[in-house]
Amino acid sequence: MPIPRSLNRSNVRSSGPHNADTCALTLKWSFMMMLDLGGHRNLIQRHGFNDDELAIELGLQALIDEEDFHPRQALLRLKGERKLFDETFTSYDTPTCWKKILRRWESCSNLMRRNSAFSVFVS
Amino acid sequence: MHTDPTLTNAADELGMLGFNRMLAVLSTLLDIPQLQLTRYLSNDGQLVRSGLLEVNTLSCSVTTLSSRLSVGNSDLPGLMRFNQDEPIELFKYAFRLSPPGELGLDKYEHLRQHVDIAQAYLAKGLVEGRSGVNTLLYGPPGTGKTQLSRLLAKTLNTDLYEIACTDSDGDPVSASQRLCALRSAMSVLHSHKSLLVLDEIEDIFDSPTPMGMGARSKAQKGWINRMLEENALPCFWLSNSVESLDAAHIRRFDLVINLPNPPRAQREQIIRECSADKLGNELVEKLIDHEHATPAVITRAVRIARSLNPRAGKKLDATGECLVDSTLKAQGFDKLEGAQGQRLPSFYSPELINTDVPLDGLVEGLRKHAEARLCFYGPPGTGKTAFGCWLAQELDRPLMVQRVSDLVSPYVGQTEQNLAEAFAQATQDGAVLLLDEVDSFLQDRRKAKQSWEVTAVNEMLTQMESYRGLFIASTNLIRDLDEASLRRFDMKIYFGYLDQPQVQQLFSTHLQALKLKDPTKTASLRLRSEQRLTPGDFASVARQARFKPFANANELACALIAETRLKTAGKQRPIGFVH
Repeated sequence: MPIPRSLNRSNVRSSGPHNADTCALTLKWSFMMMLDLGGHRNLIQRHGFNDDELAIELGLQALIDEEDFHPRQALLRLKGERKLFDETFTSYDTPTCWKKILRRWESCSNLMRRNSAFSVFVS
Repeated sequence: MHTDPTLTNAADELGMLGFNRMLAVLSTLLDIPQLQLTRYLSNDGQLVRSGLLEVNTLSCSVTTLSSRLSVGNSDLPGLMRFNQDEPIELFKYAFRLSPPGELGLDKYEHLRQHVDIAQAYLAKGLVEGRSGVNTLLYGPPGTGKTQLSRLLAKTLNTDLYEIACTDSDGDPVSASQRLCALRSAMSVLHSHKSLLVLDEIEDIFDSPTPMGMGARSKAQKGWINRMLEENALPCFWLSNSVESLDAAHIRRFDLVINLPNPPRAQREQIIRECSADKLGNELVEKLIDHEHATPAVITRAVRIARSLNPRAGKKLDATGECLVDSTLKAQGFDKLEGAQGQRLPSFYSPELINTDVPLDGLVEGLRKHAEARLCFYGPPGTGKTAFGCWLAQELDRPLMVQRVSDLVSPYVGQTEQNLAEAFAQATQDGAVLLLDEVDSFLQDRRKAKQSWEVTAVNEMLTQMESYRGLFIASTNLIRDLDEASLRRFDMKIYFGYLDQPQVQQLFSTHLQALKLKDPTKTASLRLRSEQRLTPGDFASVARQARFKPFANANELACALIAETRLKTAGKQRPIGFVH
C-alpha cells in the first residue's frame, strides 16, 4: 500500500518512499532484511552506505553526505526509522494493486493464497 | 523483487546465500515456517510446477537471493503489474494460440496409419483428461511437423497453444524458460482441454552440462521424465532430429512419429498443387527428383517467385530454381541441377553397353519380380550407373543413387545408420536403390583391420538381405568384395569395353550431335583398332566439346584415342622399382 499523502513525512518519518512504486510492504521487508537478517552489515560501511538509493528509501538521506559518518550512528538512525515506520504502519495488507492481480492469477493458475503472497515477494 | 528496485537492492545487501540461508531469510520475511517453505519451493510445489517460479535448490552454490528465486518468464512480473486484460493474457509471451493449420489430411497420406492412431489416442486423452499424453514428431525441417500438430488439433476440434520461442523483445528464450512456459501452460490451461506444442526441443533435451552442473542436469533429466509421465495436457514435442534425445526420454513418449520428406508421389502432388501449373514441367521434375527439397522449401520458393513473376514462364522458373537452390545449398545439399547428374542423354540405348550376359527380358523380369539384388561390375565408364538409371526409368520408379560420400561417416556407427536410412528411404519411396562404388561397403572382411570395417559390411549384408526392392550395386573392383556379399547378389553382370559395332554406332551418334561429318569414314576407321573405348570416354569428349568444339570428325576420333591411351598408359606404367 503506498504511503498516504496525508501523512506528513517530516513529522512522522524523516524520509519515506521516494519511488512511486515503493509501497509499505516493500519497506517493511527492506527493514527486516536490514535489521532482522543482518543486511545492515553490508549496507552500512565504514565511510558511508553501500547503496545510497536504498539508504534514501529507508530514511537515511541526511547521513549520505555527512562528512563525519559514523557507522554506529547510522545503525541507530536506521533502527529509529524502522521504529517510526512500524508506528505509522501497523498492518501490512497486500498492496491494493496486487490484490486485483492476485485474484486474476489465482483464478487462472489455481494457486493457493499463501503461494500467491509468496509470488508478490518474488515479483 | 524482480520489479521493485528497492526490494532488489535490499535483498542484494544480504549478500550471497546458500539454500538453507535462503530458507531462513524467506521464513523470516514471509512468516512461514521453514518446513512449509521447503514444500512450497520443491519441484512438487504449485509455484514451481506451474512454471511461475524457478528455484535454484543447489545447496552447494552460493548466490544472491534474487538469483536463487527467478521468475519463469521475464515478461510476467511487468505484465502482472500493468496488464488489465484477461488473465490468460498474462502469459501471452509464454504461450499463444496457434494459428489454424494450412494442410489437410491428404497431405499426410504417407503417414496415414500414424495420423489415425494419433487422432484416436489424443481424442481419448482429451475426453478422459488423461495425464502424460505426449507425442514426439521428428523429421527434417520443412516436412510439416508443426502443420501436422495444427491439423490434429483441428480434427479434434480443440485449441492448440504454442510455447513461445521468443520473448516480448523477439529475443530467443532459453530451454529452461521454455520449460517453465510449458509448465505455466499446463497449469493455466488445465481446464481448457487444449493441446500444447513445443517446437525445437533439441536444446531442452540436450542442455549443456557445464562443470559442476552435473547434479542440476541430472535433476532436470529426472524432472523432464516426470513431466512426460504426468503432464496435464496432451503435448506435441517437435524436433528435427532425435539424435540428441536420450532413449530414456524417447520411451516416455506415447506416440513417436517420424516425418520424413514425403515420398515421391506425395511430393509431386504437393509441388503441382503449390505451383498451380505456373512452373514448367522441367523444373517440377527436378523438384520432385530432389529428395531433400522439402514441401516447405518448395512452397516458400514458389510463393516468392510468383509474387515477383506473376506470369508463368522461364523467368518464374529461373527465380524459383534459384531460390530453392540457395536454400538447399545453405542446408548442405546438392543443388537441383546437381541432383540431376543421373539423367541419361537422349540417345542412350542399352544396346550401347557390352555385358557378359544378354540383358534382353531383364526389364520384363524385374517388372514381374520387383525384388532383386544386382551387381554391376567392370572397368570405369562402361555404363553401369547409366544402365541402372535406364532400368529405373523403364520400370517407372524413382532412382536413388547413393555414393560413398553420402553414407560414410567419420563417427563410429554412423555409417551403418546412414546405410540403414538409405535402404529405409528407398523402401518408403519405392525407389531403385543404386549404390555406387559398393566395394567401399563390402570389402572382404578378412582384410579388415578395424572392428568398424566389419560392422559396416555386416550392416550392408543385413540390409541387402532384408531389402524388398530393386537394389543395384556397382563396382570396378569385384575381386575386393566380401565373398558373402557375392552370393547375395541375384545377378552379377560384367560391363566390358565397347565392341566395334557399338563404337561405330556411338561415334556416328556423337558426330550427329556435334554436327560433324565424316564422309570418307577416315575418322571411323581410326577407331577400328581401339579395344578399350567405353561410353564414358564418349561422354568425356562430348563434355570437352562444350568448351572446346572439335573442328572435324578426325579431331573427335583423336580425342577418343587419347582417352584410351591414358587408360593404357596407366596400365603399363611401372610402379616403383618393379619392372
